[in-house]
Amino acid sequence: MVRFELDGHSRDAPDGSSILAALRAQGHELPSLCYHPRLGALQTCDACLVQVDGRIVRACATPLREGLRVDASSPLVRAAQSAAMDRLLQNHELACTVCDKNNGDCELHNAALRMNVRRQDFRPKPYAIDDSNPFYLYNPNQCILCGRCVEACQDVVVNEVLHIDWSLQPPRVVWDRGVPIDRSSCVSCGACSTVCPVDAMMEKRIAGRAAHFSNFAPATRERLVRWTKNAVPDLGPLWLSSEIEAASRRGSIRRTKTVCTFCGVGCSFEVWTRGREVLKVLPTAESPANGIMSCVKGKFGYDFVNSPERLTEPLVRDGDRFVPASWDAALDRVATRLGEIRAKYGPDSIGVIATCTGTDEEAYLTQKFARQVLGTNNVDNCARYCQAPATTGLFRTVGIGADPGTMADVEAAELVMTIGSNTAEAHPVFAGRIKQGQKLRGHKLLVVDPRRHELADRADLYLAPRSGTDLVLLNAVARYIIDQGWEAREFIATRTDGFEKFRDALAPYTLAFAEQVTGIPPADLVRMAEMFHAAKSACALWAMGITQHQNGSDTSTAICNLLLVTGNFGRPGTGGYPLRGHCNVQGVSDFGCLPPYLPGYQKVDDPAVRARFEAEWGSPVPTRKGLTSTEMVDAILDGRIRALYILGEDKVLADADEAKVARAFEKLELLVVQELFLTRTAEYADIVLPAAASLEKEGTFVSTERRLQRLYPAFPPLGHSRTDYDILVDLARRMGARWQYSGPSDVLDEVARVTPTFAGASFARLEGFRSLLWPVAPDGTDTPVLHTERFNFPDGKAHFFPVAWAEPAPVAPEYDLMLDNGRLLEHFHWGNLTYRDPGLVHKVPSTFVEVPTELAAERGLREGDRVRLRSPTGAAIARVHVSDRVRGTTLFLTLHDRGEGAVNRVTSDVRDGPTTTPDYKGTRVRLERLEAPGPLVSPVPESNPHGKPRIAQSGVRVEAKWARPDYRPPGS
Amino acid sequence: MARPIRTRPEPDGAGSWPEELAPDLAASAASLRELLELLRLLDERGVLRFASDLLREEDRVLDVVTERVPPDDFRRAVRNLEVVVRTFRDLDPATLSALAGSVPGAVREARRAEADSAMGVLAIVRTLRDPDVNRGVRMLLGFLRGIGRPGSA
Repeated sequence: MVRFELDGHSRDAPDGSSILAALRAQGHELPSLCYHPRLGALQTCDACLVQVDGRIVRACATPLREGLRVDASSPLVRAAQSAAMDRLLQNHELACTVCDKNNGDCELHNAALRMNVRRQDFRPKPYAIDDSNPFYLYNPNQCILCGRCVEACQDVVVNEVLHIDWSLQPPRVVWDRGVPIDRSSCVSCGACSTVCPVDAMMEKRIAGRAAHFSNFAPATRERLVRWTKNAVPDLGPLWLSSEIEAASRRGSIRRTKTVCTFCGVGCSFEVWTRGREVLKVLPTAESPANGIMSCVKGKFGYDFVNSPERLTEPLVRDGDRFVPASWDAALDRVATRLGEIRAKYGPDSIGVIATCTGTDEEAYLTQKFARQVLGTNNVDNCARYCQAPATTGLFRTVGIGADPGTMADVEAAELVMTIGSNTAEAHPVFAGRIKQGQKLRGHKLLVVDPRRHELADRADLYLAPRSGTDLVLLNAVARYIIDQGWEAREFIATRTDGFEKFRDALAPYTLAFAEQVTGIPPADLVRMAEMFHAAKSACALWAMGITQHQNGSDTSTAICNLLLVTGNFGRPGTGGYPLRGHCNVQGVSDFGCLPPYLPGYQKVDDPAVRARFEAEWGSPVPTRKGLTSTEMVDAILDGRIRALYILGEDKVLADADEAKVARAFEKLELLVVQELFLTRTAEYADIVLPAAASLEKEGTFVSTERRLQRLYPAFPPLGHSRTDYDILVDLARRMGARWQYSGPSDVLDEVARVTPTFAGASFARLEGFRSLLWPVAPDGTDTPVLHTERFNFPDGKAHFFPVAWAEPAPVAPEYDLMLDNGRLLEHFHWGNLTYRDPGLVHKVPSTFVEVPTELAAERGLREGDRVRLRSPTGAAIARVHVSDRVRGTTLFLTLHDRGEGAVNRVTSDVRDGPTTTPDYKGTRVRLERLEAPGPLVSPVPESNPHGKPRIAQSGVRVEAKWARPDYRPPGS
Repeated sequence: MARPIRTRPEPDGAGSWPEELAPDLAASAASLRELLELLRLLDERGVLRFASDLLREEDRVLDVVTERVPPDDFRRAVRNLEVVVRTFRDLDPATLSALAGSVPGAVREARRAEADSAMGVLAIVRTLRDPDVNRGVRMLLGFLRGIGRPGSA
């Protein structure tokens, strides 16, 4: 602690505090506009002035030291603060009564009100409002030039688009080199509007909607403000009327904590709603995973929730049409039909697919419904399509199939390797932490991916191996490290087992062999090995580019082996991180929706485990081996599965070989689909049950970090739709189960009783923005870093697990092109949610296929041409985008289509052995040019931000402000 | 063989009104349409929301008012309001109406007199003989008498 003097009184503050932090902790409100807890001291606003040792200084940037005498209240200091506030108010017209930001948290309003400012000398800037972007606008006239938006863009999310041009008269925020927002490289993450202390950078969704009197035409509004100010120049009535206005809207605008419904990073937000209208999604400084960060989908992509196309009542098939039904009629029919099929064919004739966007509690009930009510272990989830091989790799080597640390570890790692992951688009907030580590701490970034994407552009070393050959690359680098004697000997000796066998198995993986298979020159492989050798801590991140190959489990294992060889597991800043792709794909697996596992990865074939669940449930747990999601399709076709119950999964589009799945579904005796929309899968259903969205639910999610977080309902389910929790409980009771829950909290309590991993998890411990990283001990202690003491094997050691390269199954030579595929930032999978948002569609209107420039020239293809991609499985049609992101004979097709461009029309059903995950990324195609109706139109519009040059700088560059001739230092 | 069904059933219309209201609704259809249009506009311009928000948050709004307005100011404002109300209550409408009716003529005369040359004492005495001026002076003196009477202020 540091003892200091504040206005003549002795005070204590923690070591390392700034004066501003210490004073705030003492309840002393200094005006401060540029300081933000997640951004630090920017020193642009010059408002938080105090006197120290006879000098006026900025409190935010002045560290406290023992015995310091701080004067924060003398007339001299007050005068300096007032002068600073007057200068700020030259940049911002106080019209708070008609301002959408007048929610009680406008920092400028609050500071000026506290200082009882009575007049302002507002000087309009000669710049127009930029409202070209579909999601947010910039009003230079209200901008106080604090630079928070720039700091967030440059050094937090590290998108490096915004800067303040201090050379302009007057200065303003500019995008790239001064282009309209919608034509810039801005990816619309919204961080700028999140941190803006005023209404200059504002989400369009709230603009004109929050305030009672803001919905005027801008010119009218301006005239009204001008007349009022001329008539009443004193600000007293403004403070009163604006406070009344703010108070009056407080009851109708509700703020609810939620967790993002898109990828698995686990961003948490405050969502502002009025009735069912989503006004704003606000990441907060308290959001444990993301802080102030978000991506365009998480911040702005919620139009789907109130889409008129949402299902709002149960539908029952009647011949070739659906007819509406009451819940009683629909659920009775489901219960009756499931009962009949179970009685006729046995419990294993039914399969259940859990949703990765439901809550943990709903996942638990789903597997309980399958096991207890139906009597089968045929329960799986979408991790089968993506993450199961990564989990296998971790299980094999370190014994726990989850990320061993958090994003803080990845940010702190001296070396981050991303392999088979377009992190900046698929997990943008996670990428922000990686970019921070590289930009602010000088850490190294190694990217391995056949397709050049944003992180590849930023990488210190970028390698583009042939698709699906990563295992050879990893083994070769591991061998080279051992050959050089660079392996982590002490770690290997004390914390691992099986090294010698592993080393011997690497013998074939010479650099020359690796070059032959991967196409990567030995010098680059050596550089990669040197980077691992030089780094004191390293993390490896991977995703579908690794797992969606027929060797996905083995390549995931090879990543873990490399980390073990270099001693990069079991301590902060290290480890292997599969990047989970759905908001709760981690949770739905953790909570038991996997054929061989009960919740907490407790094996179904372990009698002691079954006994615990049987005691809790009062009924037997089935012992027969369950089928995976992909195996269920085979089982339908060969008659073993007769009924399928699918919750929130568009399986027709998600499985490889769409036509095969469609054939299977046509054969089912009963298909029940629980969904938000009439998806391609729901079209085959006998009964469609309308489900609720995450904003309408209470429960918990588990993020890719193993982070349990609560979400609260922002409004009730739309129409007659219901939560999965409600539906499952109701259905289970109709089928004879005695489920007695008063709400999802009871379910989590039950999980805690039977699952050691979640022993200490409860709603109370997850209140608000609090979170827990599993395993959670009974006393509530959580585990930010795994394996620090022991690995999860009986001997406590990590296990090297040798893996060998096998040539993929050959394909006829006419299929001469490799078809890579994956996500873009703006859309989510097939677009069931994101194509309902006009803003996202504006940025990316449709799917497209990227064709390398040279290949396009060779085949005479032009931007916007329509092409058919034909594989041995089928054909897909898309427009051409000529691109340098792909090379040679590799194409890239986005995932985002539900029709003729759907990628799984061409993917084959070849699978990874241990997990049955399809080899989506190993598809070979031939390309046929089609006649394009009408003029050629690029599928990538000018508004698309990707690939445009960015302007990187360090923060807001306040020094440039200080160098301006009109700058007046504090107190002058 | 379950073939895909690509269309949803058309949603039913909203719930219908009780049957006995049908004749009244039909008779008032035009008025109801106007009323609905008015409601729509009130809603669109935010008036409905402001009104309902004010009512919903009445306590909070009153809190703000009572916190922001100093008690002395508030007391003064209420008293002045009360005086104004009492004064208007006690005035005889017929008398006030007659007085108010003479104001425009008085203003016109004042305008004309403003342009005349300066008046001496004799001119003032002469003017007092004008019955209108004489009546006006009598009323003014009466008003002053009333103002000056003890207990009037």
